[in-house]
Amino acid sequence: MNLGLATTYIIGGLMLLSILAYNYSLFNSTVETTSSVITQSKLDNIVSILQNDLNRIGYDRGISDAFVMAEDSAFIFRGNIFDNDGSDDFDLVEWAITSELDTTTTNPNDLVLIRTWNQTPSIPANEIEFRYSVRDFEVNYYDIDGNVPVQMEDIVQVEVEVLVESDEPYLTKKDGTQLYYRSYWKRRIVANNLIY
Amino acid sequence: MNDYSDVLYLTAAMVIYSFLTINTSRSFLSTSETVIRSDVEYRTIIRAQDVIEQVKLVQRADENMLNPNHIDYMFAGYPITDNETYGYNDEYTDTFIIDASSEYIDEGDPLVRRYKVTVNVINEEVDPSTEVDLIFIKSFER
Repeated sequence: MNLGLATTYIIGGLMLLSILAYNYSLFNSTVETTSSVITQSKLDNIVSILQNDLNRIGYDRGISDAFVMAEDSAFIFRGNIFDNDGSDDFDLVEWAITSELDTTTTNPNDLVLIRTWNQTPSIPANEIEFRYSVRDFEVNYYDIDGNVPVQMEDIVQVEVEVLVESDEPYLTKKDGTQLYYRSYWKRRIVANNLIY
Repeated sequence: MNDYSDVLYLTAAMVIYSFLTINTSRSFLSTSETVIRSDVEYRTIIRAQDVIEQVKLVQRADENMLNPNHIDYMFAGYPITDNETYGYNDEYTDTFIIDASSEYIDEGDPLVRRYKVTVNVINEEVDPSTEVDLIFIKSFER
């Protein structure tokens, strides 16, 4: 074989391999960046609603019976969630993580987080349900001194932890392990309406 | 190869191609770093907000907790280092250096006393570290 032709094939082959490897790397990087932005946006949506709700626990209702239920995976509270929403009554809101797997995403770790909102609690049929996919959701409660409250009436601080993962894996390893982008939020909120 | 000019052309092409790939990779690395930093900054801001939330809890009777010269001063032991674990199995850890101070704002108003609370949180999980400053004005009615 002609030496020049052989050399050309070798160099051309190396170039082709290099371009393919580069293309693969760029593709993975793009998928990871896109996944991370979508996941952060997903968490941001949940957090916006959650913060609004937490800051309004007991609003227009009072301190003594703000909470209906307070557990580490769910809580139900009374409070006026939106001003001027046409309702004179208080709202009833529930946040609860279920053990149900979220089948709307391909992520096998995603669980369903449900927010149930009822503007007119006397009519249960008016409940509106919102569903979010999260990896983890935990709630802790504290009294005014930062201790675990003895009863629900003592709750002043609510600490919520939310962990979300991307709907799709950003990388699948050779052994089949799928990597998902994770975004996390944890905050202890002092509900203004529970202080005094 | 017919002559050495082909070799020179090929070399030049490979050098240009290398520059292009390196610059594109740098750009993507920079984007990834920005995304990660934004997540870390997000958590750093939350830690600063947590300190402010504790200041919100201070009642009028406990005003001395914001007086730097009083024994009850709530930020006497600051700065503090706080490790926070998180994740489904607590598999991640963030280390925060939290500093806070308060300062009396003398407005000459006999009815209201205000304190300026400054919170500074540093997260050194990324290099360079992320730093957040939050200021909160706490008012006590006399």
